[in-house]
Amino acid sequence: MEKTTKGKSMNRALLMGTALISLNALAAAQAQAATGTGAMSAEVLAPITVTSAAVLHFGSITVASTGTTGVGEDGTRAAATGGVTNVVGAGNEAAGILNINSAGGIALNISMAAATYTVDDTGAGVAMAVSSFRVAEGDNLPNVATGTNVLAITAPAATESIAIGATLTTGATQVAGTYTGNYTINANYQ
Amino acid sequence: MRFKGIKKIYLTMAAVPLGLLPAYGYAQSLPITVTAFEDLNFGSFIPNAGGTITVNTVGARSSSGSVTLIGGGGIEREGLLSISASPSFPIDVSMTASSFNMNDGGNAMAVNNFDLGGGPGNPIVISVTGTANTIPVGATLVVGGSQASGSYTGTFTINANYQ
Repeated sequence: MEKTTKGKSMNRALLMGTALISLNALAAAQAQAATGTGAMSAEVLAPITVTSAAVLHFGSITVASTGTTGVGEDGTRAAATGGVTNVVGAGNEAAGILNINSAGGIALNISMAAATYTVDDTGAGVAMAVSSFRVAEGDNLPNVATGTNVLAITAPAATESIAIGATLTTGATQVAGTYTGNYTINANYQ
Repeated sequence: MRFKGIKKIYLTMAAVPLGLLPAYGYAQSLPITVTAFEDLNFGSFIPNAGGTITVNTVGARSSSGSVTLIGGGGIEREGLLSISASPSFPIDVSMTASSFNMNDGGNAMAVNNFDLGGGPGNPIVISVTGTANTIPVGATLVVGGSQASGSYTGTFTINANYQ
């Protein structure tokens, strides 16, 4: 009887030991795995669009010989030079205004696509050159870029206005008429 | 008398799980912890007609299709995870899925081809040296042709297991 009792006790102890080993193995396995989470992000920007809100207008002039006139980015008419005379009183001279729509809050670089453009009367007249562009931030005119230099707008709203000034150079003899033309600017996210 | 020897044996075996094995188990199974400390950021871009943007494991960005990448001050970068575990024990690290989504609340973009340093889609094996290892995470973002503008965010998950 003593031998049988001791044998049962031994079996129970062995089973207990095995169970503990198994529990230990399970505990170890559970500690051996982990899951981690990382974050990711992206910013999708709306394409930039540029629309003309006001025509760059040099007003009315008379031409006796080669000369210049101009309009500043603030709409102020420049004094005429050479054989050009500014006709006072028409009052239609004005800076060009462009509206730039972008994502907002993203810095932009704006610049003229070329240094010189022309206007013509689509007839027999000689074209006149437009150059020395001045591109300014509409609500911050001291922030201005000349020629094809880049105007940096560091914190633009979703819609920003850009003011454009330039110089018009006439020929020695200029046929009377209405001269028109276009200019192009580049606008890019920085 | 003849059971005394056997008794010593089973007492010793019973002591194994209480003493020796727990000591061994503790040495091998320090819990693995994974901590994210840098977001995977694809930066700013204009989708145009769509395409893909890839940020590799060193933060270099490239695109395909008609996507226009915007510099934006270099915010694009690889993700960084820190894995701490028992030193010198090999650990399998893998993504829990091949694709995850980012969204801006109403629109989604898929992110796939995750690269943990072993090439896109491949798991890696690391052995922690010191207290923790840093795992870079690169991936590819799939941009739709009419992807709505906005700020997109999301998460991805990895598994880390002792071998």
